[in-house]
Amino acid sequence: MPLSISSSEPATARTGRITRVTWALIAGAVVLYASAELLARFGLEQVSTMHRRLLQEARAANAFHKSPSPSKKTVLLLGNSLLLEGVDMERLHAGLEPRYEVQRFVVTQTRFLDWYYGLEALFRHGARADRVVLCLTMAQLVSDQIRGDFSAHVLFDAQDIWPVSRDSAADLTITSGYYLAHFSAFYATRGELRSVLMNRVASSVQQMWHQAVISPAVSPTGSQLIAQSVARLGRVNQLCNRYGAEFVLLVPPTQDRGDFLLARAGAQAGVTVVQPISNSVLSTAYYQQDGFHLNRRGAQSFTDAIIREWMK
Amino acid sequence: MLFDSPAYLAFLTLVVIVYWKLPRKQQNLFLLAASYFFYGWWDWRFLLLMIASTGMDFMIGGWIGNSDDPRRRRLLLLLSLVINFSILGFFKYFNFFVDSFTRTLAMVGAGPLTVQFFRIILPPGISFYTFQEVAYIVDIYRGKLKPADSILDYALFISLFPHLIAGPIQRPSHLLPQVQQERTLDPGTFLDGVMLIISGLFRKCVIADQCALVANGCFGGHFGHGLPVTVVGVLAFAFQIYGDFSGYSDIARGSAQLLGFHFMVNFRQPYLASSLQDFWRRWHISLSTWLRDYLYIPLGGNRHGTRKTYRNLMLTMLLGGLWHGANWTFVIWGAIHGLVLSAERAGRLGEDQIPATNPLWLWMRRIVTFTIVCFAWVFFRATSVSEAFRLLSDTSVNSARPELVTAAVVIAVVAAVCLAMDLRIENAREEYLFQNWTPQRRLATGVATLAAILLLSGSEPNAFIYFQF
Repeated sequence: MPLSISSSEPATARTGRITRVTWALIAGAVVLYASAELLARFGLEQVSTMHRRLLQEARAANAFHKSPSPSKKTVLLLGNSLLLEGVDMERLHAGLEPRYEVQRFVVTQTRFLDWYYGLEALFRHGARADRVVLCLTMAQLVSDQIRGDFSAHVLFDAQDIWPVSRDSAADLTITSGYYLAHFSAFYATRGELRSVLMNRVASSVQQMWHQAVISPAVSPTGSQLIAQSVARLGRVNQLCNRYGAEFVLLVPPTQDRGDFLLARAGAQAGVTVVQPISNSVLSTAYYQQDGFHLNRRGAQSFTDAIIREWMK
Repeated sequence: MLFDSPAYLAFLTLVVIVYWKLPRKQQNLFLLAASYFFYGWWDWRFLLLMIASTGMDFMIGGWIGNSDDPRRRRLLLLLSLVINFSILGFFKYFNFFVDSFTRTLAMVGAGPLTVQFFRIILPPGISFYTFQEVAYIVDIYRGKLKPADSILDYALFISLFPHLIAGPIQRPSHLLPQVQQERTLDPGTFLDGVMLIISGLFRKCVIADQCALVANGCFGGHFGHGLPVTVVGVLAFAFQIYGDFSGYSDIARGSAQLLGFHFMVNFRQPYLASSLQDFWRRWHISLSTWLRDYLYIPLGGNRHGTRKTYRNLMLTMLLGGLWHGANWTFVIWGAIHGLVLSAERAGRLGEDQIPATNPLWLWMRRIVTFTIVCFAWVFFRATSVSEAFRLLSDTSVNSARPELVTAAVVIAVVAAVCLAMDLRIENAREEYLFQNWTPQRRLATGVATLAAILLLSGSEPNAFIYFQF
């Protein structure tokens, strides 16, 4: 086949060649996407420690069960990076060992809606626990945002996507993206894939992108705050009760000023709200540079406080 | 339905397949239904407004075309202009005028206004389809165009989905005959369409979205403050808006070509312009030529003396600025362009007066033009006039974060890629990169570009900037 179009080439031959190239281009796009999908399904777990941890925890959470022994309770501990960074799991396991078996499931950048629908999907898949503990701040509890495509793939069932889109005020374009993300690992994890790639090729660019999108923690305000918190705590409580679990909200220490309202909201909703360390207790020496996540020292203090609280 | 979303790609694929299987008479009806579905996907309530506006202009156009009475024709033209611009003004500028009014009252000491006005939501694409409707009516009035016989054809001309939300603003004399005639499926045009879509996705998802991160970081204070941050932020925004809007236009034109339509070129390497006059022949061409033909020339253009020429230039650019959005920042942006265009005219510095034959001289002019364009972008990007002046007046150099260096390097790489692409297109006189290559080489570059899009596109959806206008 000639590599260039000659002016003497018959029009029909040229048309046929262009048609074949067009089809090849479309086929190339399909093959590229299929390769990316395979990479996301089988490759990301191999190269990303974070993703491997997440998948392991997801599998363990789905297979979690109630304790057969009345003297030992099973606890499903759910949350985001505040839980990941703020709780030393080895220390927690050791401290609670005689009375509690704890299974953590962390998906970073998640908020209330991610976990309400994510928890419903976990229960639907057969997960059970004596106690469900959700670790969120006030701002995260009342937020209408979700982690988007990633949650659609990792946390939600297909049947959850329409209601979660409605609750998070997503438009039809975003909702259709969630449906694609639910079925396509590549579409859902393309951000993670790019981060892994950038971290290896140009980590400074990845750090710059991270810095560019950091948004300061916003303390929610407004008279609707308590009412909204009560409603949301009540929703999760009802869900847990339906599956025979006790629901507890664990409030991590942050600079979030609104968190003291959660105890009041919990009392109104009939939900146990545990805040082992109030926000004013820990100095900046216990936080990472971002001023939001606990550092190793802060994590030890928070973990010890949780153990003391639960072992009372 | 954003052009870079999976929903749009699925929609387009389905429409193209069904469209070419239909007989000619049903194609327009199907495309109109698809276009209304596309528009209603955002909010079906705005669809009713567009249909009403379409019906009104179709009727008025017909009445003007069938009348020989100049007075009646002029009255009908005025009626259409008043209704069209009233609708546009109400939806686009109501909030702006209420806010300006209450601020003025507060400034003169009248205290805050206690009456709470309702807020108006801007219907998508209203600025674009209103301008097409006005062009249709004015062309009929001027005798340049015959009114459309079929409301179906006219409605499709207004609402054809590839140009509906953010242009390119199509001229009736260019698009309406295409709607009325039979389209043929030409493999070469179809391949060009696919390549244009890939090129547009690259410009949007790889270039614009990366620049958007840097621009948002700089303007949001994430990289510190001061002159270096402002400079990097403005450069990032310059390439963001170029990649964003030219990418959108490429996808629009590519989508149209898959359906057998041809849209006008909207961008011709604008940052290679050697004067501001030249810039406006390359940037958002469908808007700049619309403003020239339906505003500048009717105002008198350059036919009534020097003073009126400058007045017309300034008015055109001020209104062009205000067309972009209901904010004083856009008015100032337009004023800067109007002033520099006037200065070029006064000093005979435009492209027509001093053709740049010496490469060094040409590049110097390009750099000066680009600098002026970037200075004006500060006002375009800022959320308020006070923010723009704060950015321009903060000349400190030591308060930037270390990440700014990486951001500057990323923007330098993006700028180099854009420059290389534009120089190639400019020198090869192509409509998109590698257009004149053999089909096999275009296949290879197409696949490689798709791989880059998959690898580098952001995970968060970024709406096209011009969707808000």
